[in-house]
Amino acid sequence: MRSPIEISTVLGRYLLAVASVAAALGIRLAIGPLLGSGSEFIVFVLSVLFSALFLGRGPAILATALSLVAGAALAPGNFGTPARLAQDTLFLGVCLGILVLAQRVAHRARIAELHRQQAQEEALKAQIASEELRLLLEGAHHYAIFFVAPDGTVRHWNRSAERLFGWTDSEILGRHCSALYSDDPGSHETAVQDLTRALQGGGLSRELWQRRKDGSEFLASVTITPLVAQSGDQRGFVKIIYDTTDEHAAEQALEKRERHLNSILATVPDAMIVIDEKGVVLSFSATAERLFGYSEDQVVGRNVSMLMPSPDREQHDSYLERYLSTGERRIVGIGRIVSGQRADGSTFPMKLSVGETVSDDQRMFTGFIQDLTERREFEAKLEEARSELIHVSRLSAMGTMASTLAHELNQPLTAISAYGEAVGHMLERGDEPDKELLHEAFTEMAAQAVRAGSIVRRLRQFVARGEVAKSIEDLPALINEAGALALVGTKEKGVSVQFFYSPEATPVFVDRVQIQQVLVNLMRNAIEAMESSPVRKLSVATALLDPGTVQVSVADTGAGMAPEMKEKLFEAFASTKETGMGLGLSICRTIIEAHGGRIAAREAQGGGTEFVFTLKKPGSDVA
Amino acid sequence: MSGRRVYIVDDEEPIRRSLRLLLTVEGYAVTLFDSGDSLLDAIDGLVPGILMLDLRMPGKDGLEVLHAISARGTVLPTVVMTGHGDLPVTVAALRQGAVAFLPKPFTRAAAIAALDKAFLKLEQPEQYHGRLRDAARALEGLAAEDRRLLDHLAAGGTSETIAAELSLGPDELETARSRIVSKLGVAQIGDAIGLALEAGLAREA
Repeated sequence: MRSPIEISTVLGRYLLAVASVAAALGIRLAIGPLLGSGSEFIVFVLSVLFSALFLGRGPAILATALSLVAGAALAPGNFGTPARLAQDTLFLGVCLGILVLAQRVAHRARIAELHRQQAQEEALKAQIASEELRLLLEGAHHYAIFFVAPDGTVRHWNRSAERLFGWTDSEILGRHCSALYSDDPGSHETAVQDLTRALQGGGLSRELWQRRKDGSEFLASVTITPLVAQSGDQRGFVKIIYDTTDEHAAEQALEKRERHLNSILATVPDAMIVIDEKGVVLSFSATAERLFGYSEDQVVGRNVSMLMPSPDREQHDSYLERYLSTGERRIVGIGRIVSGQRADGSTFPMKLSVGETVSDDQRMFTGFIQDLTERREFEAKLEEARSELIHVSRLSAMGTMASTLAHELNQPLTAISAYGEAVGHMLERGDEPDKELLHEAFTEMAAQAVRAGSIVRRLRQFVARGEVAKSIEDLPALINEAGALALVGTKEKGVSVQFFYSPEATPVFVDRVQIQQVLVNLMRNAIEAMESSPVRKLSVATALLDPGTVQVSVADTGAGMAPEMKEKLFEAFASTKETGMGLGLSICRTIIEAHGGRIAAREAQGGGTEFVFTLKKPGSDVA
Repeated sequence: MSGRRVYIVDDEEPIRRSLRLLLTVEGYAVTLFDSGDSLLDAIDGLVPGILMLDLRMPGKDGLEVLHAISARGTVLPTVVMTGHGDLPVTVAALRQGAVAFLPKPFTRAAAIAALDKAFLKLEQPEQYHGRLRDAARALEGLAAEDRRLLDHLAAGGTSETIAAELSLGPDELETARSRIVSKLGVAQIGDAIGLALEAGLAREA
């Protein structure tokens, strides 16, 4: 708490109080004769008043006490008289009044001072804010920002607005904002409409042509924000305008570059598909459209898995996730032969090469696809992959071989049958046995039977080709490769192929090429069996039968098989096909049984035929 | 025993010898030839008889032998021996005038039936033609579309060309074939084709 008069020390103030009482005493002694008795305290009131107003409460109380003592000293005779008591009390009451009054005055003064200081601070703040706002408006280089009154006249105009439109503020202020609109007959109405819509909608952003002072026009992005006070009064609008011409030019340049790139890509003979890291198709080339039978619109934005048959279709997302999380390359940068699925549901073999690009934090994969449907082309491609070549050559050699052997086998069988029947007939008639004839017949029959046996052995040897070379193989990969081979040339047959792989039913311990021969054989049979079926669906599935045994099934939706065929299906030379040798399935059985498995045929669910065979998992005992 | 003469042409000795035994026991007189050429060399001096001809032979094959015989104007009713799946060649042989065919291996009964038919043509042409007319009548019992299919087969068409021409699926074709076989009471489609060819000969006669 500070006194109105600045006295630096407390002691100073108290000394001053004592001095004022001393002065009052002096004055009282000097003018005492003029005052008469009974007025000892009059002069001291002045000193108390002085102390209370200028020195503070403490010094004022001190002055009061000293005054009482001085007053008592001036009239020592009447101490204790009622008159004296009344005088002292009155004096004390007056002094108390002075103190209270002084206190109130000081309080008021303090409040007034506080208010003054606050007002000063507010004023300063307002000044700073206004300066900042001005700087903001002027500093918004590419944004013309100005105020428009409710009637549409321009009020405030920043420097960027001046630069953008060419109008100085003295020229534009007070004019209607339609002066900035394109010079059309209806520009005034348009400007008024824009303001009305901004008011109704709480704001308006649009792109439109604006006009500079010199009459030239530019495409601008215009934002109008209505200003409404808390009371609900409409105060006008803020307009923010910027020139978007450059932006459009950049867009056009980008578009041009993209067109250029697309025209180059259109000449690439491979189909090209670009996907993002979620598998969503970003681009689908014209060749891809022809190959898959989808238009770009039907594919872009959708998951690329729509272009694959099962199980890739269901698992492609997890392939991507695995690659993104582990970086392990199964196809990126390597290239593989896989199956694709067209819009009509049919599948075809294709060579897929995938490249990876990263731009602007976005990872993309570009797939180049070669259609392997054309058999000749396919075989040329196969020359690159030795194992596949062995496959095809062995398959075709087996066909020729089987046909030759079947004819060869007919010869000894004809001889055996003729000898047997001749001897049998002779005995039946009771002819006298001609020993020489009988000897010849039986010797020849035995010799021809041995010959037939050796033909069969040659056939089996050819199929098995020495030792079975078993190794641990991934079953889905093995089936996928066989599938790609079996589907060669089935383009126009409209067969849709589905693979269902049980994750437990792999790996298997087999001779890869031989099991693939079995699979190709069964799949080709299935495709042929469905040639005249309305529904042509080939399903290949794997399952774990018991911990050591895996089951593979190949099912078609053909007409099924005749009951009498079912029994001799796996015997040699039992063919349902006019041109067939009836050897395919017997060879399949030979191979499967050499692997310690079993093969059987049964009716598929919903018609058709299902072939089922078993294979052993690694580590299980193979007979 | 009448000692009716059968000429066997086959490139394999076990076949020739076994067939000779079979037919000798049946009472036929059998002469063997190991190739088409050796038959053709000797053909002018042969007594009337029946030819059993293997279709698959090195050198002149069965069809060429048949062609050479008909070119000479020699009457030598022929039974052809065929392999499995040789239907097109069999049909060609029947069209060349072969009387019957025997798919290898065959039973004694089948061989005798085929030879009987051939001897009928050789010895009693009237009765043989009566048989042909019976065949034609049997064919009349067939549905028009089955008859058309059979004619196509007899004309040497393959399954593909026939399926395309008659717009039949492979399965429909198969069903139609087995329907024809059971309707005519024959053992296999080749016999039905034989009937169709015989019926054709009956019309010509």
